[in-house]
Order: sequence, then C-alpha cells, then structure tokens
Amino acid sequence: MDLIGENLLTILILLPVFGALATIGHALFWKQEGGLKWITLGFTVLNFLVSLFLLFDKSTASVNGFFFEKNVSWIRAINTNYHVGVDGLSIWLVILTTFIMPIAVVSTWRAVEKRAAAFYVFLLLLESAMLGVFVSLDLLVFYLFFEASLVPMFFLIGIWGGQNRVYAAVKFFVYTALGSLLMLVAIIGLYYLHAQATGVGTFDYVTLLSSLKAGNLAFVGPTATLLFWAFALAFMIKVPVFPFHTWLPDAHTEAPTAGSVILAAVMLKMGTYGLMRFNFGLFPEASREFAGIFIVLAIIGIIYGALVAMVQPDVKRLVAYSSVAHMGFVILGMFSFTEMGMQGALYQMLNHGIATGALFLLVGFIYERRHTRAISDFGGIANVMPIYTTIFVITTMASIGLPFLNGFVGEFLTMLGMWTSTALPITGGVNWNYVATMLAGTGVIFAAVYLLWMVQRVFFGKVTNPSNKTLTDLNWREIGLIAPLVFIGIIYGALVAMVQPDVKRLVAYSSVAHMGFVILGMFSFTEMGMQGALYQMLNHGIATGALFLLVGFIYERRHTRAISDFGGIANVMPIYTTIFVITTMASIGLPFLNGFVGEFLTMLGMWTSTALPITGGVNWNYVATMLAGTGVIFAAVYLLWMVQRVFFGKVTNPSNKTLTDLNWREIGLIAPLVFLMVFMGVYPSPFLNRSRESVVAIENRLTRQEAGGEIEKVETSLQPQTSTNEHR
Amino acid sequence: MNTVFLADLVNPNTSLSAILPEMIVAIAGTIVMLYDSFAPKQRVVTGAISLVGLLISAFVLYTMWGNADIPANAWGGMIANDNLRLSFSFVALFVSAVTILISTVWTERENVPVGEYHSLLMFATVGMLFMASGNDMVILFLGLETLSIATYVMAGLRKSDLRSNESAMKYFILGSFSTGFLLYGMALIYGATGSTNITEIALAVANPNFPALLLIGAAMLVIGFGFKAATVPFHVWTPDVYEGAPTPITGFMAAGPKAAAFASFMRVFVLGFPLVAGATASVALHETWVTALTVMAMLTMTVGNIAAIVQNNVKRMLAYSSIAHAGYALVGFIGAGVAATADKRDAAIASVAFYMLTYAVTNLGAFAIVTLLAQKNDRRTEFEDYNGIGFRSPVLSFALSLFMLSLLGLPLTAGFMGKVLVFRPALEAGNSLLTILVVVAVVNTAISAYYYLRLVVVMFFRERTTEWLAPRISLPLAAALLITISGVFYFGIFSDRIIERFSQSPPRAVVKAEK
Repeated sequence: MDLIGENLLTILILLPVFGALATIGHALFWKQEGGLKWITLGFTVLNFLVSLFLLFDKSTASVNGFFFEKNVSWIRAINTNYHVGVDGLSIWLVILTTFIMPIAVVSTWRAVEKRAAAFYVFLLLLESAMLGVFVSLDLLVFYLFFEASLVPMFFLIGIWGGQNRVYAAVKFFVYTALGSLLMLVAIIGLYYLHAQATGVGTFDYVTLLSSLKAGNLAFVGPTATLLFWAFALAFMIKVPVFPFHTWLPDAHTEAPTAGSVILAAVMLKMGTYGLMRFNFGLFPEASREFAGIFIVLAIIGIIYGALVAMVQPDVKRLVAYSSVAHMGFVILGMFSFTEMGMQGALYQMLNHGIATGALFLLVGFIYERRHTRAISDFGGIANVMPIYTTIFVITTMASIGLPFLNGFVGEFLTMLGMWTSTALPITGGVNWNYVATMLAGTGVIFAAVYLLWMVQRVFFGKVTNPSNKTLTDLNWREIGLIAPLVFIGIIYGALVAMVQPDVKRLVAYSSVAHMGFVILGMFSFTEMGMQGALYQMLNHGIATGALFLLVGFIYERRHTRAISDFGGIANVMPIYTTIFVITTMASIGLPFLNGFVGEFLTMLGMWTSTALPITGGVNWNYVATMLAGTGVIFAAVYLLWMVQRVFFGKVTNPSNKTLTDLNWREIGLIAPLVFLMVFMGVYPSPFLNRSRESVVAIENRLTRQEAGGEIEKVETSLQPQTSTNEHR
Repeated sequence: MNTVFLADLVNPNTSLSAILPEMIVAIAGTIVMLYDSFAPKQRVVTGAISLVGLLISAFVLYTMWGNADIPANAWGGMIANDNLRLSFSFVALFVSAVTILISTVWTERENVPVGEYHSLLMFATVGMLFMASGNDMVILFLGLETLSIATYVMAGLRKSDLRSNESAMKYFILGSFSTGFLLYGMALIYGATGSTNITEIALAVANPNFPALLLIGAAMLVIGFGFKAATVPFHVWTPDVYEGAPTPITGFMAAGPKAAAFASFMRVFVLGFPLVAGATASVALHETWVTALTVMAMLTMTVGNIAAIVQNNVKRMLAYSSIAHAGYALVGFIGAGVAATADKRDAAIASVAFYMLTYAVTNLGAFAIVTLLAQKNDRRTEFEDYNGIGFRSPVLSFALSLFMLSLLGLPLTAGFMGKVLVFRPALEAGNSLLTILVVVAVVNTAISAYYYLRLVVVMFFRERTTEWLAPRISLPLAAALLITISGVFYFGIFSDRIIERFSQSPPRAVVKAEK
C-alpha cells in the first residue's frame, strides 16, 4: 500500500501519457479510427478511478500536510526535485480534472472526424500536464507542467477549432506564455534568495515555506513586491482577471467543445490555484498589501463580464464572458483573506468547472445539430427539445447560483467572506469591504439577467426558425454525458456537509452567523437549523408578502389572476416586471437576496441533524435534506416558468396592451420590501445575531433533555468533521 | 614569475595526451583528404572515416574528464584542460557529427565533392577544438582562422549557385575584416600586459602597463569575437550568409562556430579579465566589459527576435533566431563574469556550454528537416512551402514543431533547461542591471513565441493548396533526427548528469572520485 500511496500521483500523471502512446500505437498499426476513442476513454476513466483513491487512503500523511508525497531528486546541479503531493487545496481540483476528462472525451464522440488520433493524443497529454500542475510541490516542476499544458491546448484550438482558430490559438499561447515566463524569473530569483539566506538554493515549495515560517528567509521591500507581481501576473493572465481576459473569449469560442470544457473546467483553475498556493503561501504580506487592487479588478471582472455577456449574440461567447465574471468571484473570495472567503473561492472553482463545463458541452450539442451558435438563430427550442431545455435550464441555474445547486455555496461563502474581510480599509465611515461585497452582489443579479434572458430567447416562445423544427432531442450518449454533471450540480449543494467538512465548519463558526458549534435545534435539533428556520420565516414574510402585493397590483388593473390571461407584460410594464422578478428570485432563494440565507441554513441544519434515525446505513436526515433540495429546484422551475409566461414574449391578449406600469404609490409600497430582500441577503448578521441568544436558550433546554447519547451519535456520524475540529 | 615563464619555454611540457582529441580529428581529416584523392566520390567511406574520427575524439575527451594524469597546463601553458575546454569541445564534436549525418541528403542531391567537404568539416572542427582548448591568444587565433577559412569555403561549396557565392564572399570579406580587429586587439592586450597567455594576462590586469591600451584592446576583442558569435551590432552578415549557404552548412555555422566563438570569448574575458578587488585598472576593465556585454546582449536578443518576426524565409528566420540565441547565451556569459566564487564561475561557464549544446541539438534537428524539405537548390524554404504539411508528413512536422518549441524554451525540452541554466547565474549576482537583462531576455522569449509558433501554425493549422510529395527519409537523416529528437528530450528531462559533468574541472573531479 505504501508503494502505491507514494506513487499514486505519479501514476495519475503518467497514465494519460501511456494512453497517448497506446493511441499512437493503435493509429499506426491498425489504421482504423474506431478504436481510438475507446482507448482514450478507457484511460481517462481508469485515471478517474485511480484518482478516487486519493479520497480514501490517507496513510501517507506527512508533516507538511501533504498526502501521497513523492520526493526524488531530479537535477542535482540545480537542486530541483520531482516533488509531488496533494492537500485539501489541490485534491478536489485533481479529481475535477480526472472527472471532466472522460466527459470531454465522450463529447467528441462524433464531433471530431479529422485526425482523430492526434486529437486524442493531445487531449491525454493535456490531462497529464494539468494534473502535474495541481500536484507539483517543486516550483520548477510546477512551472514545467504549467507551460507544458499550453502546447496540447494550442494544437487543440488551432487544428480542431472554429473559423478564427489560428488567431485564437496564437493569442492564447503568447498571452499566457508571457505571463508565465516572468514567473520563471521569479522562481529562479527565489532559489537564490533562499541560497543567500540559508546557503542552499531550492525550488522546493515546502522547504521555502518552512524557511519562511522559521524566519530564515524573508522577502522585504521591492524584492517582495517584484516577486509577488511576477507570480501574480502569470496567474492573473491564466485566471483571467480583468483586464487580462481578452484571450479567453477568443479561445473559448474557437476551441472545439472538448477544449472549451477543459479550458473552463480545469485550465482557468490553474491560475486561481496558483494564486492561492504560491502567492498567498509565499508572499502573505505582499498579498495583503495589494489585496485592494485584486478586489477592485475582481469586481470589475464580475460586473464587466456580466455586462459584456449580456450583449453577446453567440451563446458560446456569452458563456465565455460569464467565466470572466465567475472567476472574478473566485479572486474576490481569495483576497478577502477570510477563511470563509477562501473556502468559497475554492468551492467556486469547482462549481465553475462543473457548471460552465456543462454549459459548453450543451452548446456543443446544439452546435453539432445546427452548426450555429448565434442566439438569434434559435427560439422556441423548448418545444422540440424538451430534455435538452430542462437540462440547460438546470445548468444555467447552477451557474447563476441558485441555492441547492452547486454555484450558490461558492458565491455565498465568497461574499460572506468579503463582507467580514478587513482587506480593504474603512475610510470616512465607509467600510469598503461592504461596498465590494455589494458590487459583487449586483454581478450575481446581472448574471441571472443575461443567462435567463439567453435561455428565454433560445428556448421559449414559438419556433421562429424553420430549420429548428427538425432538431432532435438529446440522444443517450449525450444524456449520459451531461447527467453526471447535472447530478453533481444538484446534489453538490446537498453534499456540502459530507464532501467538504471545512465549509460546514466555517459556516458554523463564521463571524457573520456567530452560530457556534453544531448543536441540536428546533426540528433538526441544530442551532443552525433553528436559526435558518427563524430567518426563513422572516424571509417568507417579506418575499411572499411582496409577491402578494404585486399580484394585487395587477389584479387591480385586470381583475384576473390566471396566468394564461397574461403574457408579454414586460413590454408594457417594465418596472413592475423588474420588481416582480427580483421578488421571485428572493423567493427562489437566489444568493444575495434574503431567501437563500434561510434556506441554506435550514438545509445545513437538517443535514447535520440527528432528528431522523439512521436505518440500514441510510441516514434519513441526509435524505430529507436532499428531498428538500429538490423542492428548491421545483420552486425555481415553477416560479420562473410563471415569470416567463406572464412577462415575456409577445403581448398575446389585446386587453393587456393598455396596462399601465406601477405608479408612485405602488412603488413606494413595494420598495422597502425589495430593499429588505436585498439587505437581508447581503447582510444577515443583524438578524441572525439577534435571534441567536434565544435560539441558544431553546437549544440548551433541548440538549439537556435529550442528554449525551444523542450528541455522541452526532459525533460518530460526522467523523470527518470532528477530525477537522481537532485541527483547529 | 618571468623565470617560471622562461622555464616553461625552455622545457615545454609537450604532452601529446593534452591535445589528443584535436590530433585525432586532424588525422581523420587528413585521411579523408588522402583517401579522396585516390578514390574520389566515396560518400559513405569518407563520411564514415570522419564520423569514426569524431567518435574516437569524443571518447578520448570523455576519458579526460576527471583524469588527473593530464597536466592542467600543457604545452607551456598554451593548452588549457578545464571544464570550459572539455564541455565546449564536446559540443563541437557533437555538432560536426550530426552535421555529417544531415548533409548526406544534400551531398547526394547536389552532387557535392564530398571528400573536400568532409575534410573541410574535419579541419573546421579542429579549429573549433583549439578555440575551446587554447589558453593562449595565439592558439585561439590559430583555431579561429582554421575554423573560419574552412567555413568560408564550405559556405561557397555550391559553386553554380549565385546565392551560395554571395554568401561565401560576404562571409569571407566581413570575416577577414573582423579578424583584423581581433588580431589588433590581441596585440594591444599584449602591449598592456606583456603576455599572450590568458593565465598571465589574468595576473597582469591588476597592474597593467598602459590601462588605456587594455581597454581599447578589450574593445577590439569584443568586436572580433562579437562578429564570430553574431551578436548585435556585429550581426549584419548573418542573415545573408545563412540564407545563401547550403542548408546543412547553415545549421553547422549556427551551432558550431558560434559555440566555439563563445568558448574563446569566455576564456579571454571571464578567465583573462577577472575582477581583482582593489586594483583600479582591473575593476575598470571588468565593469566596462560587463556593462558593454550586457547592453550587447539586450540588443542582440531584441534585434534578433524582432527581425525574425517579419521573415518569410525559414532559413532567414532561423538565422535571426540564432542571433537571438547568442543573446541568451550572453546572459550566462555575463553571469560567469560576475560570479563571486570559482565554483560559481565554473557552473556559469558550464551553463553556457550546456546552452550551446541544447541550441545545437535543437537547431541541427530543425536544419535537418529544412534540408530534407528544401529540395534541389534550396527551393522550398519559404514559409508558404510548409503550408498544411502537418498531417501529410506527420513525423517531420511534429519533429519540426518539437524543435520550434525547444527553441522557444518550452519545458520538457532541451531549450527550457538551457534557458533556466543561463538565467540562473545572472540572477544570482543580485545586480539590478543583470536582473533587468534577464527580464529583457524573458520578454524576448515571449516575442519569439510568435515566429516559432508561426511555423507550427503554417504546418498544422492551414490547408495545403498545392500538391505535396512527402520526401523520403534516408537512413543517415533518420539517425540524425533520432539523435536530435531524443537529445531534445534527454537534455530537457535527464540533463542532471551532463550539467554536473560540464561544471567539473578535472582536478576537482578527482577529488570527487575519491569520495
């Protein structure tokens, strides 16, 4: 076991290389391309299965906090080692990579016809390089993989890409290479600073870190600044942070579907991962010093990405720009320097990988059928492709960050982290951290707007383009491909507690919520659950109250509430529509509106609850939470469907043409509610703080009644969590 | 000190073993010449004799590493036996051997008098070896002239082609002119220090007779060596000569003579003009040449890369790229000049030698393919000629892409290791000027991505409009490609051993062997 444990990461890196060799061999000797994809798929699936071992075996834990470490000398003359290992930061990214690869392979099942052998070889080599990036602990080796990953992608875009592929490929390569070359200078610089300080030069991240911690090595003044920026620039281009993002829409749009999926799902994460690992690890002071710049750029990225996405005529470009916005969230969370924010960022990376990867896949599916990606070419597709539409909408929701789909946990934690952050100063009574969080929040709303608008234009309404009438819905291959992504999207939120005990711990400890330890509560017998329940009552009051008000307004005008009587109202009553949509979002529980805090807490509470028994190995609390989660999705579906039918499309009923928009009285009535919805979504702590004492009181009584046995059960059922608590 | 010097003259240590590698190559060249006059046009035989000569020489060289029996300063101190000599000699032998393999295609196609060609190549190699081993400016000069004259002739070997004639003529006239500078510089240095021996000069620079002469002499030497190494602003001959010369010769010139020029250049400046703390003349000289070379390096890289971007001929592009690479190698050179200790200096020298080796292996590989694709009279050397051949000749195209990526310095290839190694000593100095130099080098690398990738783009991302007959790969060329491709990976991934060996001078190797 030890032998396997030590070499597991090496096996992970090398398996795709062997796969590539096998593919070449097959292409050379059999001359038929049918078997190629099976070989490639086999190797990627095998790699995924092997990567799952990372989750189970922790026997090789070392003092550095890295698992599965392997450290052998590579080039003694410059003291560089082949040093690999994973920790909590990289393990999910490794698994994300191995998980996405088979999907990317299957997505090419029919799309790649020319030069299939080379395509699969590049795909496999890319996997190797990407895995290498996430597990390298030697800076030179890291750089090596970081750069090496460019080449296969360059070929993938350049040979199998769209019309403008040459431009996109070269731009992608030159842009990212320039950034990373400066990093190379900084890496060599680190080597000598370490040599000066301790007598031995090293590229080893762990050694550098321990020297820094021990105070043997310190980066001061301009040296620290330059080193920091040399690293940061490389990663900022990769992420990409505004204004270094211009390569991304080109590369995304021109790349073949598999390339876009990998680019979005994994390659962008290399940048944020690098920032988190190396910039934060090696230059914490400089990171703090320049956090303001990153936060500002991240917010510009969030809002700019969303605004530009809104006006894109091409679905793929739209998704590409939404990546810019999403990665802005990741950067924001990281530079909030709160544990929560960073967890959120890490989480957001995974979410983005899954949701955006799925979106690119879906765009690829439709492109295969119609050979166009222009939004205007579509319309009313829901009528001919119901399954596709359903999956697309769910994925879009995940991307927007609908609660209980994966996106929202990341965004939620990010913003929570930013809110409590001290990275930005407080000047003139204005806490700029709050301002940053609020600006980021508007980005979420924008994202909802452009994604839903796109969905609306593409899928709903009449089929306007005759060539769309013959579209076939997803076939089994495509469903099988997308299902894991959607499935993960759905249960991800529910699985938060299980897969990432840290997130749960953080939320529990978080200064915003001040909720303390996991304790038994009202229905779930957890404090969190009780808090959530309380908060949800408030939310429900406000959001549903507002909804009733709004329905009342329209009833006054038309004396009907039947959905079928409406349609296209957005055209005549824009203000009304806007407010209605916001309220609906709050009711659905879109992050940053009040609803989601309550729902989130409630479900978290339920998850950790022991109120339901565990029978036959099934923890019914988990089941209950998951069921509740599906409820959220249904809520989203029916509410949004209602919004769509009522507000969008042509005005079908002539009597609606004369409707007047809201008057000032009505606006004045509804405004405070909308304000509250946003405020409670953004800043729940006053509410939560206020309720906390009484909740704790109730909870105390409950725990005293039910005594120790129950608590112990909690501890045993949540083994990972207790172990992480000890870490603290 | 003078008496010691005299004693050396009276009783020179005529150890043949110290110049055995040079001797073997020279003998091989002579045999080739003689054989050719009795049995002309025997391509395979003369090529084989040359190759065997080079291999034996390389083997002898190998045994000299860590061999304490060979006197450190043989032949009255005229022959050095240090890591600079050994590693650069190795590079020279490697370049010649691969060149012989590559040129088989061309000699066959153009019906070149191979006997002459092979013997010229052997003598050029002797010249290169002496440029690496000479510890006396006279020997360096002799080596340089031996090399140059052989190369002038080789550049013009395609007698019926005007471009080849132009190339040889330009090279000869400008080369002679620069040799004049070199010789004049050597004379001035002799006047200032009273010696032509590098070791003596190193001792004398602290207190020279006429400090001004020393500076002027050094400037002349920079011009002379700069010309041979093709550094800006002494590079103007390069593109025309490289384009006109037969393709395998171009590959040879870009790799071999350049490396040899660097060997002599480094020996004179790094070992001959060291920094002697406290001695005004030495400090002034050292500061001047380090600054001058830094500026030269920046110019060389930038001009080479920017000019390469606009080229439409692959050979010209590679010519400008070779100028740029001279600039990168200069970074390591300067690093060696400012190294604080002898160990670090040797490591920096080794890094330049290693860089030249990686450049040689990559560049020769690229030229092998360009030679193969060029057809008679170098007809197909424009970028357009490479349009869309990617999947028509996948082996050649992927190999050429690999060489381009290695020239670009991408990880896992030889070029990456070379770059890391030459940047290292320059950054180590902690001198802000040198740090800027490295940053300039890095920015230049990014610029170079554009034109190196252009060839890849042309081959793979475009469709071919004209018909394409995949050329037949002959056995020697296949061997050359195999050597260069595996070399690119080997030096990029398993360079550990070679780097270590390159930075070992023989005496220290003995100490290591004992433990």
